This record gives sequence, structure tokens and C-alpha cells, in this order.
Amino acid sequence: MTRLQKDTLTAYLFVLPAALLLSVFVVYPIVDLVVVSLHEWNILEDRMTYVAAANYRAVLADDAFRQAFVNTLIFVAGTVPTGMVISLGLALLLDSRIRAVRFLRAAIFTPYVTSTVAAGVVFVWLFDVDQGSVNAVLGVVGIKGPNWLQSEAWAMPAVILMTLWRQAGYSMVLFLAGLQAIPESTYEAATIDGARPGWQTFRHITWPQLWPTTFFVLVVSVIFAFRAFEPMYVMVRGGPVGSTTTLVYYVFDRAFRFGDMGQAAAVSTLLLALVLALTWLQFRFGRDEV
Amino acid sequence: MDESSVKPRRNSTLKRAQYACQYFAPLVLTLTLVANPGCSRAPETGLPIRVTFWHGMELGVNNEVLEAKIRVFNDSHPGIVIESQIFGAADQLGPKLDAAVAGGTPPDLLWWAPAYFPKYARVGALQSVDEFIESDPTFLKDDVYDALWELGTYGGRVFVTPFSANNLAVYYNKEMFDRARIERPPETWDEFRDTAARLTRDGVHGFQIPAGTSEWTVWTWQCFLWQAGGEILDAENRSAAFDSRAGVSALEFWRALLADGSAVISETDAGYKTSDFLAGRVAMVINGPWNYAEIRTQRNVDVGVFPLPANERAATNIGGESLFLFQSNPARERAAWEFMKFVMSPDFQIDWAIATGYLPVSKSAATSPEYLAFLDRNAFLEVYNRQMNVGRVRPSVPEYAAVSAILGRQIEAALYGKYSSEEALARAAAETDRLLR
Repeated sequence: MTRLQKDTLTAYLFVLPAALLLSVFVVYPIVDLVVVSLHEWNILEDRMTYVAAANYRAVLADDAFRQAFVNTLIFVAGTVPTGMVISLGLALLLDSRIRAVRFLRAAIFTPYVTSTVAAGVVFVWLFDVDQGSVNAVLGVVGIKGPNWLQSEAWAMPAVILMTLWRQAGYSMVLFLAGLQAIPESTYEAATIDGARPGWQTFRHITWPQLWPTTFFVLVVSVIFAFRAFEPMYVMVRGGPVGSTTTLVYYVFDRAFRFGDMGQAAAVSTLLLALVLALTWLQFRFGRDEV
Repeated sequence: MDESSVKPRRNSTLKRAQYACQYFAPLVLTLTLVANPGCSRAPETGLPIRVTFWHGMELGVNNEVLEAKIRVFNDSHPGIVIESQIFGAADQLGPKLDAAVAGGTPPDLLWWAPAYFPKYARVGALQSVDEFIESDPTFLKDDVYDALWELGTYGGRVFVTPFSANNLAVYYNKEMFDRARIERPPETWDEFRDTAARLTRDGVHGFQIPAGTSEWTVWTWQCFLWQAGGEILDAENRSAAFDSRAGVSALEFWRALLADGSAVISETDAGYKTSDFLAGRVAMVINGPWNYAEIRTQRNVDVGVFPLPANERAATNIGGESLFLFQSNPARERAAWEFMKFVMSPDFQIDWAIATGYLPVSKSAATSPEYLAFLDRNAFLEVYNRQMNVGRVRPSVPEYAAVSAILGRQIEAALYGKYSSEEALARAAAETDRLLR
């Protein structure tokens, strides 16, 4: 065995454990998912009937699927940009030397490590129509709050608010790390050249230097948003009238309430393709600036 | 249970067995045989048979009573240990159970509404109890109501045994009735609407309609469907029958109550909760007898109960839970059967009914002097007992869970005005027919 061969073998051996785990727990399930999506299958039975693209045709013709697709886009649009602005703002604030900065960082990160189910239950109370704190606060400023969770129009905003609260800390930590990686000397040099600290340094130094982090947060947030399930389940069960049924919730409904694993797998496959395509697009256009 | 806690138990069992053999064998044997014939089949290894029992007793009081009864069973059946686990809300069990059955880890015994069992019987996950009933001379099948056996039958074989029965009626706030000068509870739909309207004032709603698409919404609505003269499925269970004039008027009745503001919609999938009613936010709610212990001990509201209002006829939905026996091995199945039998015994039925408000499943328990005397003192439960005469049951078809999900979604859509009642039911019927065909 030559030196090169030996090195190659060693390299493969190093990769092997990870590759093995990935193929068993990621690649195989995806392949299996696509296989199931081409069959009619009730989870309780071993028998699977090949139906070609019938599951895809059925879900694409389903009003509820189209509604779930639109709801997912609303949820993504409602959580990703706002969430990024909020967490970047928080990161900038907590990057400075204000009092109790460690406490505040921890406090803002806490929701992310709180169980979504527990938090969801608390938010159900907060959004209660006549006993919840949200409407109580709105009442103080003279606004009569809606019946958030029992309203087709307001259930999704409530779910989005809960998600923003929960995710802000996670993206904030990423932004904080990004901010701290920007060398102090760059700012010093800019100041010497006459740049005023504040908007000018943010626009010309912080933002471009932070872009790799921002890009990462964007990609991760989009994927998180497409995958969201727990808040919709815990707070409103995908309702009322399907107004918070996103694609993942639709998958759950098809699979476990209607027992139709084939259609559920078909939607999962479509969702996977969609997220892959979006991520590819993000890398295609977003990385140019990196 | 981990190894360390199993070992001492085993030792002590062995020691006890040796002790018993040496000194008391004849006596113990005779006694156990007389008290529990099932014990003669205790395993020879000396290790007790562990039977996993899933139930969804959410009310603390009911759970305590059940745990106490399980202790009695375990103490009187040395070879068997019933290990109970609470699975949470009964309406949300479907996905968990499907996953458990598909993964090969179902419980041995499950407490759940009998409407769901045929799905699991069809795929061979359940063990029929016919053999046990036939080969067990100590068990009196005729003592349990025939209708309940029918409910547990699929393909000519009995798969589940009744645990307790119930039905739906209306809780009302007596004080609010007095304030609105309502002399007697409404008996017809028209009277009910009128009553609800008169009770609506000062931020209080007359009635609460269950929101969400779960079985709770569906089974309460079915009462109104039946009252209007309708049926859920056709006589052969081959197609939907709820898309009838009766179905439309049942849905319109709910919509009218919401439209004129005399009813409010509940939290999503939480129509069974008593919190809004006990907090004085609504004057009437549909609920069952199982909250009896909670109702009796709370001090907020003076609670009355009256039968569901009648339209073309009087009707309520008979519910209750049965015990599902999942396939495992003969020894565990037989041990589980011992518990099923224990639950159907008059002792259990009487104690359970008196403590929790659930209705007994056997004639001997329902007509026992003890229970009758208890009913005399409890008008609340007397209403439910009387209503059993007009009770109807949901169809026992393997597709029931899916039919319920379809119907639940369209009922909600109609309540929120997305579709007219006619269109919502027509959509549900089309989907149901595709499923049953």
C-alpha cells in the first residue's frame, strides 16, 4: 500500500462513522419517504399498494393543502424578516457595555430552551379573550383586543408572536458571536478616517462584516419556519378552520388523524423539495456577497 | 421498573411462596381458589405478570379512585401486577396509539371509547375476549347490558369489554337561571334558544359551543343530528347519512345560537373543559356525568343538569370507555382478562359509579340497593341515568376516527361561516363516502 492509498484509507475511516450515522438516520429515511409517497399505506398494516403519483395528485387537488401552503408562506414571511430584525437589534444592544448585560442575554435566550409545549400553554392564557394579559394591556391603551385564538384572522398572528418570542434569543446569540468576531481595529481605522460611529459604521463596517452570520441566520430561520409544528399544535390545533394549518401540520393531520401515510409522505417530499430549492437559491444569490 | 427494584420483589415473592407451601399451603390454596379462580394460573417462575394499562383519567379524584381499585386488584391477585399509565386527553390518543401499535409496543390494556376499536381489530392488533367469556364459568355475561356488548363487537367477535358508561346532558348555573327568572329547564330546541338568549347578559353567554375539529365537537353535534331525526351513516355503514335535512337543521341550530350572540365558542378542542362554566362565563354547557366529583366539591357555582333538548325526538350520545385487550402472549392476555372481569364485577361498578359519577355497565350494579339509594340523593346523576333510554351509539366501523375528523373539520368550517351548512355537510359526505367505499 502506498502512502497515498494509506492516507486515503485513513480519511475514509475517519468519515465512516459520520457517514454511517447519516445514511441510517437521514439518507435512508428520505429514500423511504419517497417510496412511501408512491404507495397507499395505512400505518397499522404491513400491506402497501403502489399507486404511482396518485398521492401527489390527490393532495395537489385538495383545498386544504393549498391553504396549508399559503399559511406556511405567511408564517415564513411573518417570522423570518421580523425575527431577524429583532434579534439583530437585540444583539447590537447587548453587544454594548450596558448594565446587567449577561443577565439580559440569558433572559432573552431562555425562551429558546423552554419547552414549546409549556410555553404554548402559557401563551394560550396570555391570549385569552377576556382574562389574558395581552388584551388587558391593549385595553389600557383603549384597544379592544380580538379573540385571538378563536379567530381565523388573529390565530396566525398569535402563533407568529409566540414564535418570535421563542426564536429571538437563538438568532441573537448567533448575531452576537458574529459581532464579536468583527475586529475592533476596523472601527478604529474608520473613526480615524472620519466615519461617525452609529449608522455610518453600521452601514459600512458592521453590516458587510456580519453578512456571513446574517446569511447563516437567514438560511436557518427559513428552514425552522418551514418546519414549525408545535406552536400550531399546542395553541390552536391548526385551527380555527385550518387558519394555522401549515404544511407540517397538514402532514401530521393526514398521517395521524386520517391514517393516510402515503399522502402525508407525498406532502413531506414536496416540502423537502421546496426547502431544498429555497436553500439552493439562497446560496446561489446570497453567497455572492459573502 | 429497573433491575434493582425487581430483584427484592422476586426474593420476597419466593420466600413468601416457600413459607406458604410449608405452613399454609392448603389454606391459602383453598382461599385463593374461592376468591380468585384466575390465580391458579399464576406463572410458575414466581415473577408476577406485569400488565400495562393505559388510561386517560384526567380528573384527579377519578384517578385516585382508580389507583385505589388497582391496588385492591393487585393485592388480591398475587400473580398479577397492573401498571397504570395516564395518556392524557382521550381525544388526542389516536396518533400515540397508532405509533405504539405500528411500533409493536401497545399497552396490554387500554381504556378508551369503544368507537375506536374496530380499526385495531381489523389489523389483528386486538385479542378477542370470546374465548375467555366462554371458558370462564364464573363470569356472567348477561349481567352486562347487551347494547354494550354490541358496541364491542366487530366481525361477530367481542374485542372490548365495558368499563363504564356515560352520556351527554346540559349543566346549568342555577343562580343565573333564577336571576333570569327561568322557571324550568328548556325541553325543546325553541325553548333552549329562548333560554340561552335570556341568560346572555353582563358579559355572560347563555351557552358554549365546542370549537375545534376533534371528537368532542363531533359527538356533541351528533346528539343534535339524532334529535333532528338524522343518522350518522346509512344502515349498512357504507355511506354518509348526516348530509340530510336533519343534519342541516342541527348545524343551523348551532349557527343561530352563535349568530345572535347567545352562545360563545369554546377554546379549540377544549369543549369538554368545565373551566368557563365554573368561572361563571357561560350559563349552560354540554357535558357528562364524569365531572360529578369535581362538581360536588367546588363551591363557585350551584350546578344543575337537565336532559339535552328534544326536537323531532329526544336523543343523547352514549359514551363511556371500554377496555381494549391487545395481543401479547397467552399468560399476559389471561392476566389482563382477570382485570377486565374485575372491572365488570358489581363491587367495582358500584364503588366506581358512586365515587366518580360514571354510570354502571351491569344490571346488578345499576339495580343494587346501594346504587339506587345513591341516585335518590343525587338528582345530577339521575338525569344521566334516565337519559340512557334515549341514548344512541356511534357506528362501530374501522374508519370511525377518520369519519370523525372529516366531520369535525366541516362542522367547524360551517360554524365559522366558511361554508353554508348544506355545503359543509355535502363536502364531509363526499369525503366520507370515498373513505367507506
